[in-house]
Amino acid sequence: METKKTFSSEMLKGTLDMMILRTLVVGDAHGHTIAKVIERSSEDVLEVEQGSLYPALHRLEDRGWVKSYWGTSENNRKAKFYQLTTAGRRQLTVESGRWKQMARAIGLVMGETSARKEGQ
Amino acid sequence: MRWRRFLRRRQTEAELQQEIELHMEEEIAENMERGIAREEARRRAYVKFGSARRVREEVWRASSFFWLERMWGDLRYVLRRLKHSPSAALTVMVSLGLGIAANVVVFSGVNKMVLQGPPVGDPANLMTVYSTDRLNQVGSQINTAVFESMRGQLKSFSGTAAFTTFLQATLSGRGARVRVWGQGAAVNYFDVADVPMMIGRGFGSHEEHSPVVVLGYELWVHTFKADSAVVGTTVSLSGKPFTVIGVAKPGFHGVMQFINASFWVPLSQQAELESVPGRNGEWVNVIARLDPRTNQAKGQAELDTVAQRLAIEFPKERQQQGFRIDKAGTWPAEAMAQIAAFLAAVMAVALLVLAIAGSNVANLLLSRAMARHREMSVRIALGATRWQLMRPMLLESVLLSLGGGVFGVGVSLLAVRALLVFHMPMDLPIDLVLNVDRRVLLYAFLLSAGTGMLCGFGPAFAATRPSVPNALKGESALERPGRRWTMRNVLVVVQVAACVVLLCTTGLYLHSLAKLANEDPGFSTGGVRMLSIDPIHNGYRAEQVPLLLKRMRERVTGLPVVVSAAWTDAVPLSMGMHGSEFHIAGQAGSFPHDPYADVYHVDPGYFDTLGIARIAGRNFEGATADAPKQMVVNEAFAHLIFKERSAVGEYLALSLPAASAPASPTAYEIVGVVKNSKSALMSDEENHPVVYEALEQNVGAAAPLFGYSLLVHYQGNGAEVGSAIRNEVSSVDSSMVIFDDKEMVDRVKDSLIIPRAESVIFGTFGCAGLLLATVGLYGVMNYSVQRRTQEIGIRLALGATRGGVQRLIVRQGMMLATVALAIGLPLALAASKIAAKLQDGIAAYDAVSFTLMPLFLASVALAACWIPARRAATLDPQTALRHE
Repeated sequence: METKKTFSSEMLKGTLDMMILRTLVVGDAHGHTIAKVIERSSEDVLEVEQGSLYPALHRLEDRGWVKSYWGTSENNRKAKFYQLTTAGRRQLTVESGRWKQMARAIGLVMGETSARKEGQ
Repeated sequence: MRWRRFLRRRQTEAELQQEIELHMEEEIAENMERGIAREEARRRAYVKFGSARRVREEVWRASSFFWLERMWGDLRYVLRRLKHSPSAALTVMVSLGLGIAANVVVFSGVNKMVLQGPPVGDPANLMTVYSTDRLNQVGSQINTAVFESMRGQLKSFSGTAAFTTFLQATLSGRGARVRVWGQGAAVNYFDVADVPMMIGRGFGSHEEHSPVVVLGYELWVHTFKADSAVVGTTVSLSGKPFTVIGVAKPGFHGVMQFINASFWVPLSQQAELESVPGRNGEWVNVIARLDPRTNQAKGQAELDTVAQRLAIEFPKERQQQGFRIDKAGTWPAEAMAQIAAFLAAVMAVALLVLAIAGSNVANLLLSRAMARHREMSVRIALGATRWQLMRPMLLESVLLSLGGGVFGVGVSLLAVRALLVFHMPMDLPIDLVLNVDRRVLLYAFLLSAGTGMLCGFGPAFAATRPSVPNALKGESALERPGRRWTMRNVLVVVQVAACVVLLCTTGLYLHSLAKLANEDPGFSTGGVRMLSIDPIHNGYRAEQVPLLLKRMRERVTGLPVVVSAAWTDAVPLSMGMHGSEFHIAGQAGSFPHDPYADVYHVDPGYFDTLGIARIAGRNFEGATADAPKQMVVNEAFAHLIFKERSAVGEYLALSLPAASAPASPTAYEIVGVVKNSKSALMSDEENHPVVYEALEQNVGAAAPLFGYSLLVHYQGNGAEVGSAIRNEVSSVDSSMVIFDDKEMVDRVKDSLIIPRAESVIFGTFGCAGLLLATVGLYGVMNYSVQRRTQEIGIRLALGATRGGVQRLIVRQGMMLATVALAIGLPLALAASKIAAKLQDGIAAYDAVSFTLMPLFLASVALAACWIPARRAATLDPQTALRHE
């Protein structure tokens, strides 16, 4: 039985991919680090259900946007590291562009003056 | 990457598991660093992560091969279900199989006539050049001299080659003599057609006049036992030595689709073998290979220009005549339109049969789905999506339908073989064999899969209608009370209506066949045998023929069982006679407008043998080769020219085109008038004009295409007499090839090949349709009785009579049948109009068919309703009320 997908989780899926890619720009990382980075850099607002990270990582790998290899974690554990590929870098540019556009559009609708000014 | 993950699922799983474990460890460690107790740290990590199992499932589902596994699961489920109801599965497969078989047979015809290109290299660029008249009608063959001039002027074509349609010969060299059909071909024929030799070589450019022969593959296999040493040896064709130079590739039987040529000789040799020079060789078919740098339109444009030039060069032959090119091996546009119309009609009928079968299957699947409506509701209530429920149902119907397809292909293989009993009423190498090849198989597959989807979709959609609460309470989600037109009713009406159309059309064809078969041909067919020989192609010279024929006839008439015997150059109802225009001798003839008659060259005994009565004058007398020419005409022709005047004693002359008319045409004296009889076809009008000329006065004028036939009126057992006659003929010349040795009755039957084939096709389709529709109606009524058991119980308990209940059910069924008839009859009338347009001899409004067939269908429907009705009437109210 497939899980019912609500609008928000559907929306988050796209952004989660983007955030993962963004995290990997800094350097290769394993799943736990990625989750932590996302949490921290969003000032703990975006508390990802950590489990959903792994399907996303596998999806990105299937599409060739990230590569994986086995390495050793900071705590000396065997961990699977993810690395951004060239295609992934390109995809990140596309998606963050789209995201910025969308964020601005939503801002305009919500009457945010800063967004309007930017537009003028 | 994806493949690896699919194929090594276990390892991927393990890796993921490891990844998740690591994640948890890190999280727990982090929590503990923050000073949280171990147990609590663990708990928080798990809460934060969510369900690890779900993550694993999600990862797997996201991989591209998830659907494959899902499909496999569905497949196992469906197969398990089918195993539990083998009889239902079998019913579906047989019904669909019949429908699919009908379509496959028809499609193999389409494949043969339309889709299959000629067996040449690069068929797309090989063109046939047709000659057209001033009305732009195709006249097909081209004069040799015109061709020679034309080929030198063509620039858009890389090669042009001529060939003849028929060339008959008697082949000897290995074993017994055989009558074979080939073609005369230009020496570049195989190069232009791009047909490689299997062994040996094709014609060399210098061999235009050499006695060399290329054998067809099949002739080589059958007559020469596939012996490759035959290349280089000499064989005899009609008594003349020819050197075998090659064997064409398997499957090549000439460029023309329906002609089965089995050998080729250089064009100039055609005249040698025909004995009578120039009859066939003067007119040739032309193929041309388009230059790859040009296209069909440019080629056509060039031919138009050449046609204008030729009109000046050949003022007599090419006045107002053009050329047209078309893909070789296809038909000229006019013929194609007719063939396509006929095929489309037959295909429509075959699809109708399939539709009836499909409705049955849909109904059956619907009731199977109905039986599971509670299960469906529970699954929907538990959150299954509609698509998830429909998927296995669709898979089931596609699977059943593919099974039906396999069965259907099997049936069609038998049917194609059964169709071989039909042969043309003449001994020509016409290829009517249908094949089930790869393209036909692909069609069968697509048709089966499509039918399965179509039949399965409705029931699956209806059965998964999410009306959960009712169903959970035990009410049917499909059959809402008070709803009169359920899907099953609509399906059954469609079926019966389709069946009306089918049966009425079948009735038309059967009726027209019966009419033709019972028609009096105007001559006696019982106790008459025929047998043909071709002395010209067995090495006889024209002047030797009369004596040979006379000696053979005398031997045969010497048999005590033989009443009379006579030679003719054409057997009636064999499509093989030629004809001419005639005018009154002494007057000026006007060639294409004078009265036309079929011409037979016959012995004086012909009329007695066939029982054609004389009504005026006398028979041929003393009609020797050098005596004045005599003729006997039939009533119709006498009336055509002389109206009420007596024709006996008048003189007629042949009307010929101005170019070839002699200054003083030969006059024929009409010595007698005989009764009318059928000539070319059974469907000829009653008064077809026929002229009989004395055989002895005309031998050698031309070798008849079908040789000379001896008609024998005998008494006794046909088979015994047949072999006795054969012995007598062979005793005169033991090496003479005998063909077309059969009863006249069989020949008449063969002459009805088209109506008979149509009747068999439509009759089979009609029977299949009737059977399927009856089963459908019966099933629906039976189901209805089952569903209304409780209601019937109440009715009986409240005092309804058994007769009343029975009427109730029958009325319901007959209502469906009546609606179907009301819909079907106008459609059937429309169909009959189309049929009448497609073929002569079919009446558009055939009262017999349109009265009998609906009545017949109605009575079958009544029977189909009556059986369930009887069952309903015998119900015990007590049990019925308790029925759930």
